[in-house]
Amino acid sequence: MENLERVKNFSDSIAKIKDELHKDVVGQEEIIDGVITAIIAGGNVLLEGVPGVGKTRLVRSLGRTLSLPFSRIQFTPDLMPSDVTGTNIIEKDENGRMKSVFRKGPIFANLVLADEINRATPKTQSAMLEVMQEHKITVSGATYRLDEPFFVLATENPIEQDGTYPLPEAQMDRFMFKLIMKFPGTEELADIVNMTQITLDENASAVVDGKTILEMRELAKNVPVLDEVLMYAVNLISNTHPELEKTSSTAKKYIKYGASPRAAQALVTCAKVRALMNGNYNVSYEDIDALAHPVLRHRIKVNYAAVNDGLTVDDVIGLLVQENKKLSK
Amino acid sequence: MKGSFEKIKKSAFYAAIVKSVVVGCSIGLLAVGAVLLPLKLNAVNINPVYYVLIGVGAALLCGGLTFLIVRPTEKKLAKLLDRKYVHGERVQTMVEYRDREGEILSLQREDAEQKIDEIVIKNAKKKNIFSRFFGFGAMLTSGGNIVSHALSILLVPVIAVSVFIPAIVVSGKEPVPVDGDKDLPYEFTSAQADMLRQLIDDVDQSSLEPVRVKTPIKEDLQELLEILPDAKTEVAMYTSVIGAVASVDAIMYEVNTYRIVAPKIYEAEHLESLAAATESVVAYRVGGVSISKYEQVVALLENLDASVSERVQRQTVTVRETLNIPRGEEFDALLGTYYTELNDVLPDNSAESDDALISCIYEFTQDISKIASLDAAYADEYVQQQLNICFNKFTQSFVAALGTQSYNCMMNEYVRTRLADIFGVAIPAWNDGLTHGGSNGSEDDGEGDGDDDKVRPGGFGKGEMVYPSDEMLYDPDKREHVNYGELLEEYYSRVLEQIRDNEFSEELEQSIREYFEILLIGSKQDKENQ
Repeated sequence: MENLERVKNFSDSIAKIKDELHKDVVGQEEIIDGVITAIIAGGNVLLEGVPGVGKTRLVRSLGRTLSLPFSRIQFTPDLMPSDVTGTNIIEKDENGRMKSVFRKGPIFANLVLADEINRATPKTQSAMLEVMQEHKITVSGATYRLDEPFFVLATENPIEQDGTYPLPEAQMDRFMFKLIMKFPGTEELADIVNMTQITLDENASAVVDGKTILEMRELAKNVPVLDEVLMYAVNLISNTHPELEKTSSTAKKYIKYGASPRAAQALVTCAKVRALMNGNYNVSYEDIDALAHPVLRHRIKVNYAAVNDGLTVDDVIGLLVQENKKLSK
Repeated sequence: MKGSFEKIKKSAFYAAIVKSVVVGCSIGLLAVGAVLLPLKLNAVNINPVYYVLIGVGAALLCGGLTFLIVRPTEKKLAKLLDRKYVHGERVQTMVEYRDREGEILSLQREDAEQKIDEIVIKNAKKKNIFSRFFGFGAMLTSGGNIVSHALSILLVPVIAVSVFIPAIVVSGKEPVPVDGDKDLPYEFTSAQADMLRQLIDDVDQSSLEPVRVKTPIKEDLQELLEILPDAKTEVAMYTSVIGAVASVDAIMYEVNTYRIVAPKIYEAEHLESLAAATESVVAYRVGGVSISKYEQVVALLENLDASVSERVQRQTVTVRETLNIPRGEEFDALLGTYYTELNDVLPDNSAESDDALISCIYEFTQDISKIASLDAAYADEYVQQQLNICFNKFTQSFVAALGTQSYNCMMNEYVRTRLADIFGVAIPAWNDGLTHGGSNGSEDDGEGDGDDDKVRPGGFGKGEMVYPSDEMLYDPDKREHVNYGELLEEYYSRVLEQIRDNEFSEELEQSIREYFEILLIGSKQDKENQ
């Protein structure tokens, strides 16, 4: 009974979160599912989308829904690392003595929106990414641990602009997902316009808290994965490497660099969460296939042959998934 | 795991057993049929136990292999269920994690079992052969359609039975009796009876000695004529015929005393010539004569006296000439030696013997004894005259005796050959038990008298070469007896063709040519003399 209660709570919580988010965000089902999955799985998300599609609103609504402190960092070329992490400043105490006090930066929140991360300098980017990886900050010898759950939603503007510093591949690998927020469809746009004409207020309210998220995270870890499904996921990642002797023909033809082992970890971890979110108690092939694009699109680099054939990264990932299905039979 | 999955497993297991049994039995029948049918058609019989072994062995082997292939493991079943009905890898995950505990795992199991229950209930109404009889699991592992059922359940047994039944029903060929296999049904035909009666008539018309030879032989042949209608098998017929042949041989053995005399003469140091004379008994066998017609016997008889006489005279003259010396020590010693050696040749009680050959030799010894005991006062001329009379008398009686026994041998061979021809049986070759000196090319038919000392080397003997080109030989192409000279020339021409068409060594070719040229020379001489 207790088991069932916990799992039921999981499903209910997910449903509630989605319902609340939809009060503020129109459409973007895939993005919402991806973000929720990443939060529960304990990863961070890189969100790509043109300005005005609702990235900030999404993260803010998510923060309210999850009852988690939220902060937004707008990255600019002049942003320093200490602007993100915080710094020591000299203050007078009540006795008038000068003392050094650490002022926490905007990173000290549970949900952080790192807007236009590719505008920051590499130094500032790496400070941010280090926090994302380790969930702690060390300043002047003192280590400050961030509260769990800690989730960063970083954004990139897909339109190339002057003054941007694209994230290197090694840094990109630290994001669990890369989600692409597309321009809403006509009907969705109409809904957005109608909604925002009435009010710009965000109506999502708290439905779960951080503790619940952590419990859900623990529960998801126990979802069983069939050995064959695990090998299916592992083969999918291996088949992105053209340099391997036994690899897919797609990789040999279209890929320059393949995905790292973090991709396999992310794939399986998020597949467990997805299975539970869909009311299943085990990971299936379908879960792996569904997560292939968000997990891989920022982790593989296509070569000129793909560009020449007019194939995007997502197209190549689609081919990889199809080939993996055939090979697994 | 409980409930539906276990039930599915059981039903799939039973279905696999049934399939294996059906396939195994079918293959067993097919194997038996496949072996039995060709053996039957080729008239080969083997112990039925082997068929059982083949069938059972094939059935067990194929049934076992089939079971190993089709037996449902939990993993296979789980995969099938997930792929076809349940989806989402639920059942496979349930099977893989069945031994582990955990809150999610127990929920997962319950979820999988529930989905299986839904599927089983949903498919319960399927009108599928396997599903009906063996349950959902059997249907699952059988592909779930009638076509696959028909193939696996019906087709193989149908093929097997269609091979097995004809193999049982078809009657095989009877084995062809091999040469010498006489244990077959036999019927004494009227043609054979007529030929046997003709043989009896031939014996009756012959010049055989009536009391001791002709009559007993006729009686034996008559008895054979009476026994054979009762012979129902080849073995019985063969036994009777061989018995008659043995009886005829025994009769001749008794009366042909040259067989007793000849070996002893051969042992005598100074009677070599007379030993050569006894060869005249089988002189007719020159050229491998096979006497299968009574006309041949008649033809041979016409020349018998002349040939025997010529040979005996030649030899006795040789002995006589050794005594053309004045009376004295040497003369006496020689005469005494001849007497002693001839006496040693004779069996006991030779004086009372009524056998012509024994008697003539005995009387010869008596005559020699008388001449040896003549008073010294008698002149050499008188002594030589007496010797001439003695030798002439001996020669005449010796010729007569040998001639008679030679005729016995001819008739013996005729009766044997005729019986072999009438009944189509193989009779051991005629053999007088002696090895002859090879002077006339007579055949040595095998057994001999067992004494190696009497075996003489082959090659040309001391007698004159005789090429009996007027002898009759059986020509297998024309199936009749033809003149030896004609056959010889034809054979030689064929030999020359073979030499021309094939590769022979020079030596062999030379030997072959010489052989035939010698024979042909003799043939030509005879023609010139005729």
